[in-house]
Amino acid sequence: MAARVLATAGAALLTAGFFAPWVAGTAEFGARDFSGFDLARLVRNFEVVSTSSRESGGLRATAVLLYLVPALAVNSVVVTWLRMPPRIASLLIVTAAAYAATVLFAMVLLAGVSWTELERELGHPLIGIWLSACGAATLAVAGVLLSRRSGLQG
Amino acid sequence: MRFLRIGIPVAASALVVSAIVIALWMIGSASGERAKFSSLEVAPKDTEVFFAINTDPTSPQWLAVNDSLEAINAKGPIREAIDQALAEFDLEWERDITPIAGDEAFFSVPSIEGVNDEGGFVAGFLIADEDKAQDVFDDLRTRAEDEGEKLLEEDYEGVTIHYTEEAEFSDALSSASSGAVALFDEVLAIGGSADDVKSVIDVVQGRAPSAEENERLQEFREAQEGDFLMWGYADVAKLWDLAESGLATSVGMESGGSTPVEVAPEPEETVPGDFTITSFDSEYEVDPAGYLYVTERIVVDFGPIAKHGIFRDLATISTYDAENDELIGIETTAVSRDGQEEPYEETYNFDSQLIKIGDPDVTIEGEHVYEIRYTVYGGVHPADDGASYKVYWNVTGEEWGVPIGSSSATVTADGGEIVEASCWEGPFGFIDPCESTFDATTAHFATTGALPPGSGLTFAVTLSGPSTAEPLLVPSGTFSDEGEGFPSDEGGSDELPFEIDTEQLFEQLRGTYDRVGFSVSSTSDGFAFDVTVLHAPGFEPELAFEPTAAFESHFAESVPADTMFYFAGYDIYGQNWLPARAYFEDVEFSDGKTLDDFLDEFADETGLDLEDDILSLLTGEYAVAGDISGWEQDTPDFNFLALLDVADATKAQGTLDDLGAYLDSKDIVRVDDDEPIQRWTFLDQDEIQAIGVTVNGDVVIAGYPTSVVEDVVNGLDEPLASTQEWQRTVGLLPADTTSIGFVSLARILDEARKGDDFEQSLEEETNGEITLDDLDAIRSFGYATTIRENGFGVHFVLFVKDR
Repeated sequence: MAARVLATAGAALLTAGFFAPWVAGTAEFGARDFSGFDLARLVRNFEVVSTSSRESGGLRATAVLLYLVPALAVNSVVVTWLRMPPRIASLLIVTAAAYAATVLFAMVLLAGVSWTELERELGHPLIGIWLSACGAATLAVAGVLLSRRSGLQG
Repeated sequence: MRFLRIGIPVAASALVVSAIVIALWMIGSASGERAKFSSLEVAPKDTEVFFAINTDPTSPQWLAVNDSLEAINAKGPIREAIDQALAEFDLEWERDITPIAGDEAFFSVPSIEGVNDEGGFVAGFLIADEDKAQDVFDDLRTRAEDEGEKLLEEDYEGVTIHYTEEAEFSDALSSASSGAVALFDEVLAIGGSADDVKSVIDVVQGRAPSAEENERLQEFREAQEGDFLMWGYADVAKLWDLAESGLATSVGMESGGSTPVEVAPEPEETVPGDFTITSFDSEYEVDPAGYLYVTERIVVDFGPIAKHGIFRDLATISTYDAENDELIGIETTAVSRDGQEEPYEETYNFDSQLIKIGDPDVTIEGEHVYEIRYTVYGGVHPADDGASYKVYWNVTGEEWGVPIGSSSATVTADGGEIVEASCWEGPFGFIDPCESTFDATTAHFATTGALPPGSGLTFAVTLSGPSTAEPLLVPSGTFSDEGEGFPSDEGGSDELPFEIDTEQLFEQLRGTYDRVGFSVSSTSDGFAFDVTVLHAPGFEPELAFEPTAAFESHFAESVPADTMFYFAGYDIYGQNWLPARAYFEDVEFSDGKTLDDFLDEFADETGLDLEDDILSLLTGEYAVAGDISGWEQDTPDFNFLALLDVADATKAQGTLDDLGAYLDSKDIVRVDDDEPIQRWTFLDQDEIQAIGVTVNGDVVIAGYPTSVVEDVVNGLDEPLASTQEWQRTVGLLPADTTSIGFVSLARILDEARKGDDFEQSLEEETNGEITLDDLDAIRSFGYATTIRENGFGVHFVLFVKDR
């Protein structure tokens, strides 16, 4: 029960964080904040003006990678409510948490280091990214709890 | 069983994840497009000039601009230039601009007639972040107040309008609203006056209709399918009314005349005795090339009354003779008061140029000496025989409302000798002679006494020797119905061959150009500038300049890949000749001849029927193409091709033969019939020795040198149509083109690169910021016309290749 509540809370935090400001814009995007959803949308706008199918494919994939963050989080809640083997459920939840953490870490890294082009466009992290990180951590805890339960059962 | 226990939940999870990603994808795609034309929702309904500007930097339009600028290494320099420009106003892009840049902004002029110093225009910005915008707004306000600017406030329907007041130029005691601004409901409204801002508040708060309900504008909006960087609309109907009324009220001026000195306050406010012009003395240096270099010294006594300065109003249209008006060009070079440089502004009215002299923040009293220097192109009239020329000039103008104590003019000649000089003074008509003396180099004119209000001084000087002046003449009916002017013994040398009925002309202009719209947009391939012209509803232009048949240019397959320029159109006979013939059918030209007379003369001379033997064959596509190379040589190499689809190849061959025989008989060309290409060698021509002419299938081909014609006949390995530049340029243009043009900027750069001078001068001019390599990404320029419902479109594109 605790795992289910934690998974739901974590997914809610992660999803809410996805739609809250992740990073501030700089340069020509100055004074604009970008949520995870906004970033995916921005990537899609870049795709509209891309000139090669390779570049276009890369941008499309990036948008999907971002959309996967809330999708996997919501799925974590769904799996706790399905009659699914706890070991698999915990694996899916931990995967969602790890995936979100990886994306968030990458985002902070990309916005913060000078060898990426994004560093020129994206500024400091905002509340949404920390909210999502908390959600990811909560999901991870839920996954671990579920995993222990599966261990006991196993 | 174990497989199902694992497989079903995993499949369900995959389904859930996929469904969510797809949902987000769709929502993201839909909302990724900014709200196009959202500014119409907050703009007032009445608008005669309207601009909408995409202010969303994350929209694909601006992202594409970034890409293109990066491709030519211009993003950095442009950003720096913007930052520098903003810094002059103590503004910063990120701090002050982007917070107020939401989806879109607009600028609107509700009525062109209503624009004046006190407003009549309004702009609105949809705000991206109201809190940040409020911070910026407060900051700007504080800074303005710190700089001593007095800001006033007015509450209107719960919104605070901030505005400044400034003294009117002509009267220190009165004041006018000078700029107003309000931030409310996620809109920043900026107007020329508080009333302008109120009009936006009324729209946003639902008390007045928005521009979305303007049907004339909506017709354009609906035609704008794609997104844009900037979109504009002008209701031209009112402009034609203004232009026509301006022409109708234009008063016939003395030849070469200048309108009166109008001293502040405005002429209608002038009270005799308010102030006086003590003296008005001018010097004129005459350049036989058509220029007058003028220095005026005007001594004005304002007495005890505080004034800001004076107005000097100079006519830019004057009567030349009974049949023509002359257009006068004026360039002000210096203005001073009491020997010190004095600020001035120039405004251009329909028939005059107003120099507003004085500092609006400073009032002066007593006597002051103004010196105005300007250069005039006009007033110098060569005689028919070229042996002499005359200069007419109205020194003071005659409609000012204050007296002039005395006036004089001194004329010196730069070329030729003065052989005659005379002057007149008095009110309009100038019938009283004044004092004049002259020798070979100088003429001097002076009034016999004071000039009362409404009087002026005019002179005429005749000089021996040639003049290269070319007076800019237009038929007098075009600009004035009155035109009672100064007598001139010079004939109208630049007469049009037929008379223009101004009433009919304006009827045609008004009907043809009823509304004009434009858009600037960017794509991954470059930029597009589209203009659309709509006719008045139900109007059929008598002379349809716009082509009506769309076609796909197949001649791009028949010209070489290294073509520098290419232009193609369609159906000369149906789209150009027949409408022109119908229009000119009843026109009698100045020598009494009709169009049929000219056609008959052509047939008598050449033995060819212009319509039947030539024009009626041209019902398909036509194209011209060319290339210029070896720019570094004294005489560059060039080649050109002309291709014409013909309706009847046999008849076309006969026409070519007849035409060749005629030109041969006149010793203009020598025709060598080398099958299959005729070689026409021009006699007495150094540049083009011979062109090749042939009929190949249903296409007439002419070209220089003859080898380019041979190449086309034999088939090209790599035609223009196969190049990336052509394909991408055509891809940027609309599909339903009625004419198309192409310029290969890549070819031009290739040639420019061969010479050292261009690259060196480019780098010097731009301080090394732009090199030829930077420009490599700019590949080609395209142009096309299209037919639109009840109008036509003109389109320009620039293909910029991604690096």
